[in-house]
Amino acid sequence: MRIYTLIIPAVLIISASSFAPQRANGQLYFGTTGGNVTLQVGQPVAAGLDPTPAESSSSGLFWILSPVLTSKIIVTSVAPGQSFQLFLSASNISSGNSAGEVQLTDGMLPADLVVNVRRLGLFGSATLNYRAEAPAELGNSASQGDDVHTVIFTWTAQ
Amino acid sequence: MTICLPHVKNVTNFLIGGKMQYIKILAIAVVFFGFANVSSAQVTASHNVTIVVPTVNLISVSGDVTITVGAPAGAGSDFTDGTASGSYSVTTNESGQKITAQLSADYASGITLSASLSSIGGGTAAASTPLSTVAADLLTGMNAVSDTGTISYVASATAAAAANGAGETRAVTYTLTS
Repeated sequence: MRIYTLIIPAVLIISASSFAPQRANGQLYFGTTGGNVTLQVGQPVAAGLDPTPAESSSSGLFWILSPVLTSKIIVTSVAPGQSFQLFLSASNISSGNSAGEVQLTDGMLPADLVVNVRRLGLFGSATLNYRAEAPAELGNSASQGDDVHTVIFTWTAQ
Repeated sequence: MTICLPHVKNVTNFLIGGKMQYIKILAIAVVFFGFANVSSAQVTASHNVTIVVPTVNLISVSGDVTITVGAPAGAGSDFTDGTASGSYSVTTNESGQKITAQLSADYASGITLSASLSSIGGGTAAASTPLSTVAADLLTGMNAVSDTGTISYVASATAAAAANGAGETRAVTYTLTS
């Protein structure tokens, strides 16, 4: 019997570390789905109006085993040389509430994205809704290059 | 480091069963990992979001305009100028753009149509400019902008201009260009 008491914790550790998403304290698995996102701003509907915003809900967040009873997800962005505007909100949250729309700017302080995430089940997920806007005065990619945001989500106790 | 109790319990029951074993495992796990400070537990995930913005250059003008010049003030005098206005709208996300205007064909001898634009996008507006079949700069040095401005027309006719019945129609083409 003594051998099992040593093996089982080891098995738990190994099995936990084999998941691709990051983990904390050996029990939270947290990651993004849908990969990277590209938003193509459109031509204006008519002269005198700004280019048409681009939207995407093709990506999301998922987590397995919340470590605490109530958590939240905060977000920040790194986008050197940012020229355009990017907004993010979460929806279809399996256990929690959207904190509303967040404007993502380079080097911003972390902002709440999902709050009141409760440990209702083993798995949780949320849809990420991005919207990019480029009012005419902000220019275009040909002259300023594309904006590339590294959007960083952090799971933390609330 | 935190240990998820339900998870451990399930695994231990499956592998060896028994409450005592479960308690032993918990005790060892606590020794291995210590108690978790869950308030400081943080995990991050990230992905990249790329924004692509095309080059945009659009211009439009309001509807057709009819201008009637007034009768001369006296014999031998030119006709009194007629005026009218319209509007134009521009979206450009490039800087250094300008707007030109030209006629599809010249008016009859003695008749002149001049135009000017109110400034948008910080551009420099030219004074009222006689239009011809050669493009004339009406607004230069614009910054990127989406806005609407005013077009002011002045039609003039010399005393030598012949009456033209219902009028002469010409297309005025406005071009947004670098």
